[in-house]
Amino acid sequence: MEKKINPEQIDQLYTFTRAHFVEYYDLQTELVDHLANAIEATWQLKPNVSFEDALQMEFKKFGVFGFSTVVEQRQKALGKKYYKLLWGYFKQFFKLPLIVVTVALVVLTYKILEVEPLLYLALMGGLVVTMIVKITGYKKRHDKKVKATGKKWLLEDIIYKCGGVGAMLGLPFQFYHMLAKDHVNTGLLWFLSVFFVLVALFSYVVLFVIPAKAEEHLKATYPEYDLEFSK
Amino acid sequence: MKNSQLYKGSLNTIIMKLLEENGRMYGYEITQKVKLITKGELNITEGALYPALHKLEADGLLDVEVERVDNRLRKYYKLTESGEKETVNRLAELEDFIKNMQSLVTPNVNPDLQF
Repeated sequence: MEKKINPEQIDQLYTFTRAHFVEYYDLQTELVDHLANAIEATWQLKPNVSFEDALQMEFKKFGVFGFSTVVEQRQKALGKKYYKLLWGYFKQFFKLPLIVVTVALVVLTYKILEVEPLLYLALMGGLVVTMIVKITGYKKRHDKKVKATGKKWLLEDIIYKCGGVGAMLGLPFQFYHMLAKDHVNTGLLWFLSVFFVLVALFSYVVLFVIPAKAEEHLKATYPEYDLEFSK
Repeated sequence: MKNSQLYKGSLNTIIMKLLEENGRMYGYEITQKVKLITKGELNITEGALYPALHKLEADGLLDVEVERVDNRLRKYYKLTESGEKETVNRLAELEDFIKNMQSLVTPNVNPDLQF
């Protein structure tokens, strides 16, 4: 009879991928199936090779860097996918009908800044506080879920880390020095209004739109996402 | 992979061609199929295969399906509609490349290209 990998060995393979720095369940699953297939193929030719030895033989084929190239490339590929999603939502604000809202927001911001240019700092401050509150909230919720399920999905991780938007927290405060000087003019106010609205819309997509549709995107990317949670 | 520099640029096309012929395939199956077709001459390394598959997937050229097989989950890849179109283009490109290389390496095969 053909020697097959048993469920305990599948668990061992998951542990093995985790031990070799593959923290994402989606990638672990693909590698586990690969290793299991390869080990079973080895057993067909040499049934006496132990599970451990067969596994080491296969792992060597991944080269000196082990799984790290695969992990890095996967992060890059899904990062690209995320930014495609982001761009898809973001550009809606520059097409009808939403462009009307965008223009209205720019005009509204201009009117506010016309009254007091320093309100720019208050607007940007409000945006940054929203970012911090949302990102912290998502992190807590996501960490809790990962702990409860024991599974971390790469795209979910990117979505709830808001695509690394936290690293851009300083960006909104660019140009503030212009306000401190005497040369506040109409051109500058329009420029700041457009800049603020662009940052705000970008943040809105990252902080609200994509997380709200996370399930939908995760199911489209990971057919196994449903399979796992319907068990 | 054997002569990796020469084959590297064609890995995506090889994958897409195999998927065009076989419908859907999983990673391990692709490595084995290539080995079989080339009688062991060409060996796609695991470290190159999965990144290529993931990139094609992110580019919207491949779609994935997951099924429980034996006691584990198996991820299958198949061409999307745009993937099918792209396969035709890339194969044509590859054939052109092969033809031109052949002319350059053995110029007497094609007298038109002689200086």
